[in-house]
Amino acid sequence: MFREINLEARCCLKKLIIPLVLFVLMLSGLVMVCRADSEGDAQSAIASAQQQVLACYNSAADAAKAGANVTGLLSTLNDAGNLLSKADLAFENGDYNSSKALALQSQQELQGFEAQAGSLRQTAGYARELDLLVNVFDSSFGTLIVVLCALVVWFMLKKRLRQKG
Amino acid sequence: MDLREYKVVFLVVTAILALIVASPALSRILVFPRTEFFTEMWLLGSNNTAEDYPFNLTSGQNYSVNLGLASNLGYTAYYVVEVKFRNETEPGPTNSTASSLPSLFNITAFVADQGSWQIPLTFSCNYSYNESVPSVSFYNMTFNDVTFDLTGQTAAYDTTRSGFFGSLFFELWLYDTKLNSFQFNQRSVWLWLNMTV
Repeated sequence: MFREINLEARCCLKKLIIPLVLFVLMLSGLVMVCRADSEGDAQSAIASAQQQVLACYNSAADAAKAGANVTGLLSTLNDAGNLLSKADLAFENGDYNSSKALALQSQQELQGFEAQAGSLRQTAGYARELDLLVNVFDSSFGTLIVVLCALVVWFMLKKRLRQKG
Repeated sequence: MDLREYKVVFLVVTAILALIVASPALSRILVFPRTEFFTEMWLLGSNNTAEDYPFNLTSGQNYSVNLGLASNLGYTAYYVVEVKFRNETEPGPTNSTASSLPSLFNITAFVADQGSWQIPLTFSCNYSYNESVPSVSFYNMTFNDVTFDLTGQTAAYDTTRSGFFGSLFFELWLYDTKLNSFQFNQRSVWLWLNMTV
C-alpha cells in the first residue's frame, strides 16, 4: 500500500518538476529583464540629464558673456549638477531606481532654465548697448563743450587784449 | 602781454580737460586685454581658515573642511572635482597628471568669471584595526550625505610617521568646450589622515 502511494507521489513529483524548473527559469529571466530595463532607463536618464546640464551651462555662459548677472542661474545649475553627481553614484552602486529618480529630479530643476538665460542675455545685451551709447554720447558732448568753451575763452581773451592795445 | 606765448599751455589744459570728460567712454572702448587665466583651488579647516585641519581620525566620527574654487578664466567655468582616497603606496596626482585611481564621487561646480564658489564638506571614515598584520581595513566613507564603498582598501603601519595613513584628495577637472570633454586642470588639494586605533 505504502509502495503504491510512494510510486504515485514520485510520478506526481516528476510531472511537477519540469513545470517548476520552467517557472523558476522564466521568473529569473523576468527579473533579469526588469533589472536590465531599469539599468537602461537609469543610464538614458543620466545621459539625458547630462546633455541638459551642458546645454544650460552653454546658455548661462552666453548670458554671462553678454553681461548678465548669472548668480541665480549658476546656483540652479550647481543644484542640478549635485543631483546628477548623486545619480551617477547611485548608478555605480547598482541602485538604478534612485539613480533614475535623481537624474529626473536634476532635469526638473533645469526646467525653463534656457528660456530664462536667453531672456537675461537679451536684456543684458540691450542694456549694455544702451549704456555704451549713452556713455559715448555723454563723453563726446562733454568734450565738445570743453573745446567750445576753450575757443570762446581764447577769442574773448584775444579780443580784450586787442582792445587794451 | 602776448597771448601767443600761452597758446601751448592753453591747448594742453584744454586737451587734459577734454580727456577727463571723455574718460568714461574711453575706458569702455580702450580695454586692456587680460593675459593671465587661471583657477584657484583651496581647502580650509572647519573655521574657514588655513588651520585646524583634521589629522587624527577616529572611526565613524565626523570632520569638517571647506573646499573652494575661484575662476579667473575670462568665462563662466564648468568644473568637476573628483574626490579620491588612497593609502601611502597608491599613486597620487602630480603637477601635470591626475591620479589613476577611480573617483569615488564627483562634485560639480559652475563658477562665473572672477567669481568664487565654496562648500562645506563633512566626512567620516569607517575602518577597523587588524592587529595581526598590523593594518587598517576601510569599510566606507560618508561624504556630506553620500556614502561610498572603500572595502578592500587597507593602510599598512608607517613606521617612520608612526601611524596608519590615508589621503583624501580632490582633483580639479575643467570642461573644455572645444574638446567637449573634461580635462585635468593641474590643480589638486589633499589631506593626510592618520587612522587612530
